Amino acid sequence: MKEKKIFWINGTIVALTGVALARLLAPQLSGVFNKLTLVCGYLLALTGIIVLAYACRPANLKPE
Amino acid sequence: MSGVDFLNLFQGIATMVSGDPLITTGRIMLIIAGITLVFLGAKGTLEPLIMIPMGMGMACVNAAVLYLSATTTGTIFIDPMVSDPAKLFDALQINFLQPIYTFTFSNGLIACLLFLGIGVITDVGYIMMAPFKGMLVAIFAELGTILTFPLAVWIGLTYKEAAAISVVGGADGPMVLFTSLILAKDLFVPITIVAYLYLSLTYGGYPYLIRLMVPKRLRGIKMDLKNITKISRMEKITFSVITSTILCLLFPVAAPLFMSFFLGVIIKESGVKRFVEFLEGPVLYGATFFLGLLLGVLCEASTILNPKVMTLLILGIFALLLSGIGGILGGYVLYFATKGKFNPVIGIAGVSCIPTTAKVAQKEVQKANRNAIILPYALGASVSGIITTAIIAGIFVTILK
Repeated sequence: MKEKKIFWINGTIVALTGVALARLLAPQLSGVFNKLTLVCGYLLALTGIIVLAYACRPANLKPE
Repeated sequence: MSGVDFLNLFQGIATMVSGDPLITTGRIMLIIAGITLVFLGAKGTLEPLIMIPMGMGMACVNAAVLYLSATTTGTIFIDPMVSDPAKLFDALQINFLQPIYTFTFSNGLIACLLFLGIGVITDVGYIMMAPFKGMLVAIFAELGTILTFPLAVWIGLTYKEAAAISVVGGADGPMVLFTSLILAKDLFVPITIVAYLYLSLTYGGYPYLIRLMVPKRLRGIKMDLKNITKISRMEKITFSVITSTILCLLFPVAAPLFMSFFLGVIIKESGVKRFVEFLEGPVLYGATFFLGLLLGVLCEASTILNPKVMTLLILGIFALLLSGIGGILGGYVLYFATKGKFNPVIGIAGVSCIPTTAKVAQKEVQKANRNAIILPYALGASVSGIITTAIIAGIFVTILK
């Protein structure tokens, strides 16, 4: 788990950035910017979760 | 004998003929439907865990309408529409299923108990071994949820009702229950019944969809099982804790469901044997049993004969069909992206409905090629399906509530 620390940290940061966009920044904006920030936030949070899951792939796995 | 009033010999028959002919016809049809569900459940054609209690409840509640006063009729099973605190207190003392309905249905507790149980029998390792593939397929498998929403609005449902029925496309019973309770409380009974009825039908219907969309040659593609990653318990626990916290931060309104599901996963991975036995046995099966029974009892003709029910029936089947098609299309995208190394049948498992769709996919693949095993990948797609459905339900609830 230690050697894949970078995935755990990056995944968490990306996901939390998504949360901040969707829950903190989006309500401050209006119109199309609100929707755009909201969607970006949700997508970023989902991406963060996928990055977290990638932390569990073996380091020596050959690319498909 | 001429003095005997046969209609009043059994009160259920007297109330049957005294009411509105439409309701009388509905009651007779629902009694027949209930009996049919019991037999189809017992035969294994439909999901027996839900269908047997549901069918019994449906048949009995429609036969058991009686005169509660000189002018009003009802049952002593349940009163789903009561909201006045004084009347609710009376109902709690009279109706035998009212306590379970009031204290577990109305607040979504039963959905959370089901998710706890599902969490305990779910292995998140399947999603972690191929996260991108699982998520991609699951996003495609939300096609029904996404397209049913505008269609339902176009047909004439409100935004909230449209969102509640479109979540049926996510094929996740507790999620439909939860969303409809929050967004469309008046329609929650018919929407939930439509959802559970159709979820049982996926077992019988999806194999035909797979055979229709995927030729036998592609159905038999073997998946690479040699390079499957071994994921440690601690990694699964860390992933579950971080993911559930992030999802709760993002969708606080769906937080009870996220917490329940991931708590179940963490308890399983922690190896707390007593809790695992408790959650996967009494909690999961107890909640499933009472869910089925209450859904059946809620199918009383005067409650369910809502003019919108036919619309909901059509939209529900449309949502599930489109999600199945979307899932298989997602499977095809990965098939072409991996140059033929991905079995497109796995796509149907992205519809969620864990573990039914994964089992259906494996069964169909094995019919085409006895040596092909896709179950780990299919389960990964199914778990991803739970997460994507929860996210879409959370978005609906956050925006529309």
